[in-house]
Order: sequence, then C-alpha cells, then structure tokens
Amino acid sequence: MKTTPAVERFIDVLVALLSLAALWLVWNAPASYLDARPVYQGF
Amino acid sequence: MRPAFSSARSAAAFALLLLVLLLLPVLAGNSWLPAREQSYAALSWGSAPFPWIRNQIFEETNALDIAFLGSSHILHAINTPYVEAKLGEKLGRPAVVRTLGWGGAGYDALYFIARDLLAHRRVRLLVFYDENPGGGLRNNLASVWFRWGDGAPALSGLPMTEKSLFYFAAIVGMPRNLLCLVRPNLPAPLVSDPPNEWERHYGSASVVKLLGATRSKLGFNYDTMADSFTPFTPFTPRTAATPADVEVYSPAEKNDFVFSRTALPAWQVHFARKLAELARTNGCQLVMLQLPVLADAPAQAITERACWPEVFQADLPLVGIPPAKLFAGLTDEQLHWLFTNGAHFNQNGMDYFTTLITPALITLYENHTGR
Repeated sequence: MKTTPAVERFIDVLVALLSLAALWLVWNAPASYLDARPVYQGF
Repeated sequence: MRPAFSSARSAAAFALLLLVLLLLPVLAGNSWLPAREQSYAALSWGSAPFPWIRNQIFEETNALDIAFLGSSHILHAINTPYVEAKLGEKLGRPAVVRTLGWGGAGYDALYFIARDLLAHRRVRLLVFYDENPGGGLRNNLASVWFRWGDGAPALSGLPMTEKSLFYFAAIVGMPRNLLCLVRPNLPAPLVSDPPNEWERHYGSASVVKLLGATRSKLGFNYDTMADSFTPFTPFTPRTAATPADVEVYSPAEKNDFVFSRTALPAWQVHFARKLAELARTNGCQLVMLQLPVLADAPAQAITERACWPEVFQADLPLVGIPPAKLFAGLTDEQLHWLFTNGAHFNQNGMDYFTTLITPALITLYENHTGR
C-alpha cells in the first residue's frame, strides 16, 4: 500500500486516539467488570 | 526505537480492529443481539441462582403475589416457602411467592432484572432492600445483564462518565452475545443429583424447593478473605421480639427509623427512580425491607442511608425491626449462630427473621390489593 506522509500521519493519530479511548474506558471501569472468573467468589 | 507497526497497512489494520471493537455495541444495535433470555441462560449455577431466575422470568407465566428481588442479602434472608404458605392461608387460595436473588449489589442490576421480570410476569408486591449499603459497589455481571442495544435508553439523564461504564460493560459482553447468536445456550437443569454448585457451596436445600431462596447451613465465617465457615449450630432464638415490633415508616407517626441522609451516588438515585417508574407503569407495589446486619445488633434505631420514599419519589413502604428488639437477650455467640458473615443470615437467622417480618408483608399485600 502506497501512502503519502499525510495519510500515515492520519493513521498514527487515529491509532493514538482509539488507543486512548480504549484505555480510558478500561481505566474508568470498576475492576469487577473485568473479572472473568466464571464462578462467583463468595459474598 | 523500533516503530510500533512495520507498515502503514498494519497500523491501519490495528486502527480498524480497535474501531470495530469499540463500536461493536452500537453497530450490533438491537438486531444483532440474541434473545434477552440468553443473558440469563449464559450463566451457570456457579454464578448465582441464574438458571432459576431465567426459568422464573422466561418460562413461568402466572402472576406473582410477592417477589423478593435483589442481591445476596435478601437471597439469604427470606424463607420464601414460609411466606408463601402464610399468605396462602390468609388468602384462602394458593399464593405465589418467589425469590429472585443473585450475587453482587447494585441498583442498576436491580432495575434491569426487575424490568425483565415485569415485562413477562405480573407482580403485585415487589420487595427489595437497600442494594448498596456499603456505598458505591458495582455489580460485576453488568456485561451480562446490560446490553447497549436494549439498555441504552435507560441511561438517559446519567452523567457521561456513568454512561461510559455501561458502554464498556456492553463492549465486554459483545463476544458472549455474538456467540449466543451463533450457538444459543441451553438452560441449566433446575434440579440435579448431586446438588448444583450453588447448593453445595451453601449447604442449602434445593433452590427450587425453596422457591428461589438460599438457606445456608453454614456457621459463621470469621475470615474476611476466604470461605472458612465454622460448623453450623442449629439454633432457634428465644427472644421477646414479636411481629408487633416490626415497623412501617410513616413521616406522620413516631417510629424508630433514622436516616443518615448522606449524599447518594447519582447512579443509585437514577436507577432507584427508574425502578419506581417501572413499578408504577406495571401496577406493582414496591416495598423496601431493612435487613439487619450483625454490627447493628445493639442499635435501638432502624438506620437507613436515606429517606427512601423521598429518594424513590414514590409510595414506598419501608419495613424494618429495631435490631435491639430483634436480637434482645442474645449472647454474642448466639448472635453469630444466626449469620454466615457480618451481613448474611444462615438458615437460623433466615427462619427467625422471616417469621417476624411476614405478617407486616401480608398486611402490605392486602392493603395494595384491596383484600
């Protein structure tokens, strides 16, 4: 794929923005949302 | 430093992957979601009594006289067959009383599961408790019961940071939802021999026979980091407490309710009011039950985090019994015989509490139904 520097810059910015968005969602979420254990670990 | 990507093409592919993953809940909308029933069918008995909840919401169709709904405290507090028998005696016909309880607190879970229940079954009296007595705890199964396609409208009015939590939960849940589309989950058996994981863990009789309740045959667990239950001691408290000690809050009458009036998180107020609105539109009477915890045993007052009828902006009877009356005369050792930990009754506590609270619940049922 032949790209111009402007397109490469655009892709870099897009990757950065999307990564930041994903990181922010993970950072903002309670740890329990990422608890993938199938069995509840007691009350 | 080596570049993160070997070419512009691989960088673009990564960006596209991230974009699709992040937008998946929106792209799937409502059309690429499995039936709502699959959210419950995907959970095993190891997660909580979800196979029972699925059965009660999506298979049973008759009206419920009383439904006890909520997370673990209420699941372990009400001897449901006892309430059903007593209500049936009063009504002169078989009553239908069920408990639908799960693990992990949250007004959000309470609202979304109540919404599923009320969409499928008529409920005359819905009894719940303060889902977040410990503060801002979040339900760890949000990615299961919340889906962007059919849940987003319920978030209207919440701050953006709150909405983003649910959006993230929807992203986490998307692989499971898409898999359910390709290969639906079969419901777990309701009764099994040997008993299912849930019943084994708590030494409880069949959840089905208990109409959804969990009746723990476990002693007190002093270890806050692990399940190390002491042996169970059968015990029936002999106290002076009677059903007449149960109080229903009324701002016009003198009673023992005390409200701490600390500011509640916006999301709890939001879902509390959503629940009130849901109940109103479905002709269902809400009742809030104050569930005692061990630390409050000497308290003369029934302490709540808020004046709940004001928070819910609804006709919400608030029912409780002053802990000092409930536990009067019990030694510290006997108190511990009623609980599995600081906040959950075992079967001793469940049976004792249920016999005291049931007459008040039946009276509220009669007031609501005009019987």
